[in-house]
Amino acid sequence: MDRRSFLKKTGVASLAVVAGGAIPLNSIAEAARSAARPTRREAMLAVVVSRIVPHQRDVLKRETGETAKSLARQIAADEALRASTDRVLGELSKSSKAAYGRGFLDLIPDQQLILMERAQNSVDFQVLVYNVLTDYYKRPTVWKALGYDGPMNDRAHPMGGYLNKGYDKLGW
Amino acid sequence: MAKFPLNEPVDVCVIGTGAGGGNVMRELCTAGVKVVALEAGPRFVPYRDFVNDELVMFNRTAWLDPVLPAGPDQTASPIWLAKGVGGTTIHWSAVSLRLQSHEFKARTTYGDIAGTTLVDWPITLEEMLPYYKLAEKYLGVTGRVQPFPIGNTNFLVMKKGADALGLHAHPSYLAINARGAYDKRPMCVQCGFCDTGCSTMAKWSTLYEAIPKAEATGNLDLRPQCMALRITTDAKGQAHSVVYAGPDGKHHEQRARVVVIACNSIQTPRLLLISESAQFPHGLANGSGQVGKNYTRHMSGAVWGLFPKPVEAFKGITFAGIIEDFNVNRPKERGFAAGFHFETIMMGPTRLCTFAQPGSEISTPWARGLWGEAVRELMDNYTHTAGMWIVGEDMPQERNGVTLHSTRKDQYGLPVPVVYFADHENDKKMRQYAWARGREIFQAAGAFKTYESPPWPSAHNMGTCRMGIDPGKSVVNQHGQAHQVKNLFIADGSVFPTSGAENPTLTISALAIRQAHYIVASMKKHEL
Repeated sequence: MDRRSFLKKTGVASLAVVAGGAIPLNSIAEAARSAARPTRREAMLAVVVSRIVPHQRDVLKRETGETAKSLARQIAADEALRASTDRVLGELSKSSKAAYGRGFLDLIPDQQLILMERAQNSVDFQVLVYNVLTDYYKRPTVWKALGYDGPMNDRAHPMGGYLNKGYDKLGW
Repeated sequence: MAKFPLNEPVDVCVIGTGAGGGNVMRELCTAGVKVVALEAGPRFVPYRDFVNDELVMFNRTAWLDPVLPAGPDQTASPIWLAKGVGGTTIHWSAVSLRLQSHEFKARTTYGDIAGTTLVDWPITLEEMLPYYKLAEKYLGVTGRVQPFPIGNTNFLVMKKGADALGLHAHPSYLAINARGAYDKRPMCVQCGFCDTGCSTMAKWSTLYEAIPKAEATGNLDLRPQCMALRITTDAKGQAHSVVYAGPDGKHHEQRARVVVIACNSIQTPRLLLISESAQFPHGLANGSGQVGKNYTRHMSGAVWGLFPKPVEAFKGITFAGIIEDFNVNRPKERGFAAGFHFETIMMGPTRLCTFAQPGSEISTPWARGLWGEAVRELMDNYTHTAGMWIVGEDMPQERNGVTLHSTRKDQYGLPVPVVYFADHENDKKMRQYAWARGREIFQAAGAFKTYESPPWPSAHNMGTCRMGIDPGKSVVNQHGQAHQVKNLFIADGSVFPTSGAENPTLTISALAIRQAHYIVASMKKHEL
C-alpha cells in the first residue's frame, strides 16, 4: 500500500486492495438510484461518520450527513477506496452479529462505539478516519460553527489578513 | 531572461531552484556567469496560484513523485518538499536561524556517541558569518536587517507560559517583511498561511527574489518542468553534461563547464546514484561510499494546548515566536546531547484535525489518529488552541539515508528513492524531554489540556552528501565541491555533516552564496 498518498486528495484515499468487502458492493448506477432511499452502505457510513465526529450542535450534526454523502460519492468512483471502506463496514457488521446478535445499525450508540474501538487498529479504519476528518473539517459551515471564519486573504478578501484585525491582541 | 540554444554548452548548469540553487544562480549571474537552470516543477505566479487552502496547495506544490518510506520511525510520507520554481522556499516557514558555534563542532562538543557518525564541520561559525550576513540581507531576516515582528496571539500564549517559568520567548528571526516593505516586496498582511505559498510575496522565496535578479542580468536561462535524469562524465571523470526530460518528455543534453546539483537531500543523492558508470560504479562522486548516508531530518514533534479563553492562533505569521533557552548542550543535566527550539505553529482546521495526533496515513504504521470524543474536544476548542513545534538536532547515523529501489521506477523510468529513518536513542530522549517542557509551558499559561504530536513528514532534510576534509569519509569539500569530480558541486542541505538545531534554509543559503563566490573565483583563475 502506498501510504504517502496521505494528503494527495481532498478526502480520497488511493490504496492498494488485498481482499474484498463483507458487504455486497453496490454499482455506481445503484448508488445513483439510491438518492431517495439510502443503501445499507450509505446508512452505515452516515452512522460511522457521526461517531467519528460526534459534535452535538445541530449545524455540526447536519454536516456529518454531508460528509457521509461525500464519501459515498468518492467510494462510487474509487474502487480501492470502496474496498477499503467496505472492509471496515463489513467488520463492524460481522462483529455486531457476533457480539449482540443484531446488525450494526440496530445497536445503541454506546455499543456501536465499542465495536468501532475494537476495529480502530486496522489500517483501513485509520484510512476511513482520515478521510472523514479531512472531508468534514474542510467545510466552511463547520469552520464557521467552530468560530473560524476561514481564510482572510483569498479572492473574497484580496490583501486581507489579520493585520490591524487583532492578530496581536490576546485579551487575557 | 535569457534563452540559450538548447544543447549548446554554458558556463554552469544548476539543477534545482530552491534555497541552494536560487542563491547560487543569483550570485553567478550577477558576476557575469552564463547559467542554465533546470527545475522539475512548474513556475507559479504567487498572486494567481498561491491560495489559502492547505489541501489544494499541498496537491499543487508538493513533491508528489514517489518517495518510499522505510525504517521503524519513518512517517507515511518521508518528506514534505515542494516542486516548482523556488523549490521548498515556496513551502518553508521562513525561520532563519544561524547554526551555533558548538554545532559546527558537533563531534568535538558531543563526543563519541555510540551508533552515530558525528563529525565536525570543515568550516566554523566565524568563517560562515560573512555569508550568513549576506544571506540575511537577501532574505530580509527580522532581528538582523529588519525589525523583529510583533508577535501574534499564539506567540503571546507561548510568552505567557515562558514568562511564568523564567524562560525567554521572543519574536523570531524570520525572512518575512513583518513590519514594512523590503527589497521591493510588500509588508506581510498576517493572513496565517505561510506554508501554503505566500501570495503577497512578503515571505522570502527564491521564486521572486533570487531568480528574477538573476534573470535581470540576461545570464540565466531558467527551464521549468525539466527533470534531470543523469549527469554524464568525460574521459577524465569530470562532469560533462546533464541529460534531462523537457516539458514534452523529450530528452535533451545540456553541456556545462560546471554542474551544480541543488535538488534537496533526497533527489541529489538519488541523481548521483543513478549517474553511475564504469568510472563511478557506485554512483557519481561516491568514492567514499557516503552518498545517500548520514541522513538527518531534525528531532521534531509538537505540543498543543487547549485554553479556557480564545487564542485564535490561526491569525498572523505561523512561526511568529521562538524560545531559545533549550538550544544548549547539557548532557549531564538532561540525559541527551545537543539542543532544540520551540517555535510557534498553527494549522487550519483541515490539517489540525489529522496532524495533532496523526494516524497511519500521516505518521508511522502503528499510529492511531484521534476520532470520536477526542477529536470533538480538540476541534470544538479550535479557536482556543495554541501550538508549538519542536526542532532539535538529531544524531547522524550511517543507516539513515537514501537508496534506489531495486525494481520500482517513476514516470521517467528512473529508480524510485527509498528513505530509511530510525531515531537514535538520543533523539528519543530529547523528544520526551521537549514534550514535557512544552506541556509545562502551556500549563503555566493556563492550558486545561495538552497534546503531543510525533514527527510529521519532514520538510527539513539534511545529510546524504556530507561535506568534510577527508575524501574517504565525505562526498564534498567545504565549498560543496565533489572530492572526486572537481567541476561538480552540491548546493543543498545534503552537504550538512550534522543537522544543528536550527531550521536549515538560512545555512543552505549562506553555503550556496559562499559556493558561488568560490566558483566565480575558480573560473577566473581557470581552475574550473
